[in-house]
Amino acid sequence: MRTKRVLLAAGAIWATAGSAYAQPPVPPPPAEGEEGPATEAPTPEVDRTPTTKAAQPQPGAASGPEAPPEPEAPKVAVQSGDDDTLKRLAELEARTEDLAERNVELEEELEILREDQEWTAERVDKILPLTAKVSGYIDMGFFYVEGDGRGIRSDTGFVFFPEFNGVVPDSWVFMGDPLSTAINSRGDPADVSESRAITSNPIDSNGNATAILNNINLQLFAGIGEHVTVNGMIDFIPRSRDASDPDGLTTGDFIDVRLGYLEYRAPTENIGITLSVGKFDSVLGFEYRSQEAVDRLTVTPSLICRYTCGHPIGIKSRLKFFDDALVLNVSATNGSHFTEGFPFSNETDDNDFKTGAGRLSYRFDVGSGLEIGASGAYGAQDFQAADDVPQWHAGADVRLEAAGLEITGEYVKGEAEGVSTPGEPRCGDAPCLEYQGAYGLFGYRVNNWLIPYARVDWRDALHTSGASFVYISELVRVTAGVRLEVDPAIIIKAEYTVNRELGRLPQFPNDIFTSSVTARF
Amino acid sequence: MLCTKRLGLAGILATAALGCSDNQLGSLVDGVFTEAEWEKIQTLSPLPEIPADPTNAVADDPDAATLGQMLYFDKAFSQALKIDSDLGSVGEEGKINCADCHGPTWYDDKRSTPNATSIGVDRGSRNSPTVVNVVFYEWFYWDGRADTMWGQALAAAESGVQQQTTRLHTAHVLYAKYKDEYNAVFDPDLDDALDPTSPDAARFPLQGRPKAAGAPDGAWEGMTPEDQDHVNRIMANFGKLLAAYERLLVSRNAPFDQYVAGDTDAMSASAKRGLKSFVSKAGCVECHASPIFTDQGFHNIGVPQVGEFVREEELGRFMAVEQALNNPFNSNGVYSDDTSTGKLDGLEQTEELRGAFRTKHLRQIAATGPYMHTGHLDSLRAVVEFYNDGGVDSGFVGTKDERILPLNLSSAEIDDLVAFLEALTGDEVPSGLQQDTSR
Repeated sequence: MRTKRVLLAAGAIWATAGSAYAQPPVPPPPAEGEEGPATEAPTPEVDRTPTTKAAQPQPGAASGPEAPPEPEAPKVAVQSGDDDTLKRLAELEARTEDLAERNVELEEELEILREDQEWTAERVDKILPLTAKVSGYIDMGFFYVEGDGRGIRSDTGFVFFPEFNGVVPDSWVFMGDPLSTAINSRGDPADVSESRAITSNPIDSNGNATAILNNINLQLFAGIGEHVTVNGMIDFIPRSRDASDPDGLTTGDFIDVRLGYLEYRAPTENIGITLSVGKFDSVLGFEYRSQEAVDRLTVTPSLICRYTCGHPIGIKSRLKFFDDALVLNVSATNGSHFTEGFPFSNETDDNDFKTGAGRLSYRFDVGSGLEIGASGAYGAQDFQAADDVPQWHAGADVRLEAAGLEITGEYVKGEAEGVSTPGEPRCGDAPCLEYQGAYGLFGYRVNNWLIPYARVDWRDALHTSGASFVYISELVRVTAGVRLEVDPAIIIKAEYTVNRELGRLPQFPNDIFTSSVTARF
Repeated sequence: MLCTKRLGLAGILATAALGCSDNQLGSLVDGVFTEAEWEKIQTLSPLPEIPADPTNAVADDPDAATLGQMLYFDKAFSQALKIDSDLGSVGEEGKINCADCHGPTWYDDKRSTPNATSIGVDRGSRNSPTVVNVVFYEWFYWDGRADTMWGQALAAAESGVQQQTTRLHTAHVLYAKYKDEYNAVFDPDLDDALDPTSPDAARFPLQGRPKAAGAPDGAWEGMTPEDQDHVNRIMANFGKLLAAYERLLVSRNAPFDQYVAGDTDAMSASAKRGLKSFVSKAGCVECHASPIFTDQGFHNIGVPQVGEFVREEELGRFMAVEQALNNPFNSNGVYSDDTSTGKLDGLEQTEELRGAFRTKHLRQIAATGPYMHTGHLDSLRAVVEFYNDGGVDSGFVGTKDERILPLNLSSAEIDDLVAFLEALTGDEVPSGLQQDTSR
């Protein structure tokens, strides 16, 4: 959870400041009678000359007025002719001198640390009132998608789906999935070109390999008092000018406000209660938790992320029980939890029937955690003025982390019923969507910088809008990739996705190679 | 090979390795079109032979066409101007011929000012479309109220805003100026009583037409039924002569036709992309089908009734159905040379026809603006943008066709479509046909 992450980061500052007070990183001086580290107190060369008092350091002879009194050398009876005793005595004297010197050094070092500590304390005192933080990342990549970059093709001539002949123009009968050629963590497809439902085409690669600055992400966090935080996240997306607007003066770059909410954490002890209002993360499934390029294991989202990775606007509450093992997330929002790039997502509402959604999960004490969750949503269909056009979603997910292995699985199913007029093409008054899909994601941390991963995802959907279009999507993808954490702030990822249409859909070239380099700040 | 079978997960990678994924939809034609698209494109060219018109026995008679050309350019049939225009002042007669609103070169209106709607003896409420290649139409007028080409021609002559001729006046002009040519084509000959100096001249008053419903009887009603029939037949033949000429106004060999015939350099890359969009993304071909680029149907595409002289409301095809059925000069009428075409069978007014107009053919479209029946779109780009926006939501009668939706074309794609439409202009009609041969 992003807020949690930010809070933890802020907490780390506090922890660091606190430790500076409590445990200054000063090596403890050797206890009396205890030998110091061999490196710091090597045994001196033995001097066989009989030790005399004149040869001993004189009190007050140490340099500096603050030098502590020289410890008095142990008085040892010397028996003439006893070489062993003399040798031992010489060793003791040498060691005494060494300890005395070391003591001086430590005193000086202690003084320096004391001054540093005072300076640090002053700085912390100044920082205390500042509880805001700006962070983010940039995400760059390079990709190539087969064909012309699209994940769809028209059924020209109704060759594959003759049942739509006379219902929908053949060029508007789309086979495949327009989002299946996503090339970055945002889920932006390489090209959508002829698509009629998903029409935003900012990348417009036309099948050409290209480098891309996917986004500059800016995350804002501020605390208000002890229990309230303000959170925001914005993507800046550099793209070519929107050529469909001949009068446009902009460069084509755009801003995507992804999050903006207030969060209240109740000061309870046994139950964790969090209340959020604004534009927040979805509560459905699992994948929404790691959408940002720096967080996501893979480069691209799964095929079902469009249904669970949105950022709806409304109110949300999270309740945690049994040491956070049982978590209940519930929300009431304007519309669905679909992503904004999918045409069933509306930030503001066109009807009065709000969408209720929730997820219940339990974390078992297996490995680093085995979490099983179930989620669902029900509300009036987005973009519909009527309250009685329902849209529902249900899903289940599982997540296991153990022995360096990350396994995530998720299944979703749902429907937007749409509205049809008898005798007219189906779903002509409001578009219909029936869908189900799933993915399995496997990652293994080989070491502290290398994580190979694989994902299989599948989607089966029918999206119909009268005579305007129909999308028949039945496909499976297999993705293999690797994640390199070359630095805590820099992550490199690369993956290849085999994109295969199923059922009556023909195969067409739309496999994807894509990569990502992210850098946090 | 079509890889349409359901693949198991285990087979996916193997399938990919075998390269089953590419081009099952067909290899690209000229590097642009899928085979399916190319098949569709081939239905758009070439223009076929001129279709027969069994309702007009002289449709393909060269003598009829020659006489028809004379009549096309003859202003003697028009009556007094109702408004001042570049052709004359109010009250002046004999100032309007067909070519004034349908000519020159591409036989469209380049004269009226503004030319959104055309000016005959009066200001019209619609734009005069081109006459070139209309021989391929099945219905005539924007709303299809004429089911034959000759029925359209004579109706235009009688129209109160075009030439406003009367049947008796037309008969008299034909007798006075083209008797021999007429009699050479038709049997029976023109009645000599049409000669004003004839002792029987009173049988055929100089002016007259059937009265409007509720109007008092006029000169026409004083005639015998036999003489009325004779004049009606002359009027029908007048239309058939004009149609015989207009049937020759055909333009072929557009760059698009050359391209489909195999000349890959005949169209620019932009036009090729536009053609691809025409048959795919934009879906234009859904209605603009066949070599004449029309489905011969009537659709309400939501053209708003805007323009200074445009009517506030137009029922379009809905009203035209009634007019077509009641027209004495329709294909089922006694003046039709073949009443068995069945074109009017089952024709009835239905709600979807409210505000619907005929799908205009797109041949030489770049040369025949402005566009739409209102003429309010002055460029092809404006037309494509109109469609790209999914039309408008108000300002028209009836319900807009559900296929008129935003097309999501980029500016470049709009340019491409315009480039393609510009490639639909073929050769001009022979210069001899453009000559004013009237007397």
